[in-house]
Amino acid sequence: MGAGGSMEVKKWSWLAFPLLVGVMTVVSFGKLVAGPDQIWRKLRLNEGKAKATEIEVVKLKSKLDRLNRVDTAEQGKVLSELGKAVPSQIQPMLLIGEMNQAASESGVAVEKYRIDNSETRQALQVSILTEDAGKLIDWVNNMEGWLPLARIVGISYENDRAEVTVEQVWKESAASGTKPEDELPETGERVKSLLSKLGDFREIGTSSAQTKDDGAVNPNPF
Amino acid sequence: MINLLVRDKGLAEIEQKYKGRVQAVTVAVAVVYLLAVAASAGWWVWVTGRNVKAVKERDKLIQQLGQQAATEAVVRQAAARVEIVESALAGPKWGPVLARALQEAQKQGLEIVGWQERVVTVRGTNLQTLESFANGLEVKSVTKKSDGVWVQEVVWK
Repeated sequence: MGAGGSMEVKKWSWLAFPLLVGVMTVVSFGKLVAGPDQIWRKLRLNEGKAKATEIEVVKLKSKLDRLNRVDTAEQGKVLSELGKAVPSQIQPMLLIGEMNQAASESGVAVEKYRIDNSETRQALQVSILTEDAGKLIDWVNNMEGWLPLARIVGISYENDRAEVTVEQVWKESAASGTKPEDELPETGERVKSLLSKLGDFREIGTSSAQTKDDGAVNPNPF
Repeated sequence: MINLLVRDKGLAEIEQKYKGRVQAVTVAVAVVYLLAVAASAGWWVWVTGRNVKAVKERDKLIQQLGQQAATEAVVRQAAARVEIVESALAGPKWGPVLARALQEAQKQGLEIVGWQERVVTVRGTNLQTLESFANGLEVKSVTKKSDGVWVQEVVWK
């Protein structure tokens, strides 16, 4: 190339900068917005992830705060009180105790009874002898007022004999298999209200299970 | 022969006319470009920093929560037992229902001789009294026995 050519290049050299900026803009646009990398999209996704992690942190902090405030002795006491209403283990002697104590207080005679157990409940079939329907109602009221909770599911009364089916539930305490992010259940108010309701019930001690059977014939309850 | 002087003159005019505008637009685009790149880089640094900090804090909290696992287990057990006890308490009590039926029967001079679920069987000598007892209730059956006594089954509310 001669001197003329060199002059020509120099003359158009001012276009190099716009061309460079143009190429860079197009390439950058491809990288940042479109194209396979989509850097801005990735950034937005990362920001979303960061936000989600921050929300998780807030939740975990609040959970930890609540756990730090938990009085484990108090919780244990609550658990024990609730366990008196629905035991964590099957306790047939308590149900028999309730039945006998109720019979003794109501003046009815337990003729015979039988307990069937399932995985979560025990069903007591009891025959009661009484000439007075009022005494039977008294017995039902008594049974429904005991802890552990007993539920009358069927009553058949005829010719001075009542066949009553009573159910009592029991449930083992489940082992905890939770994740840290699982929310802590809020039960404060419910526990208060429950404990106040349970206050109206009478507790049958294991010793009551040995109360005398009023005329009962108990060959083998199981 | 081609007149190169005319072509050069035309190009010089174009250069003169557009150079300034092209350079101005280029500078503007370059500035915007640099700002966009710098902002993207800043955004990336900021987001990454936020993410790293949050993840670190989360891991630390998870570790602390792990140390409170026993407390959490007690709270969860209590909550589970609340559900169980609530459901055990949820059913209706039969004592008061039976007592009301008995009281009503006694008021009418009737005798309750049977109770199966909610079906109460009453006995009396006067059919009108039985009708009055069953007022507003569903009557399942009315039978007259050989001794002249009426037996009526009604579904108690």
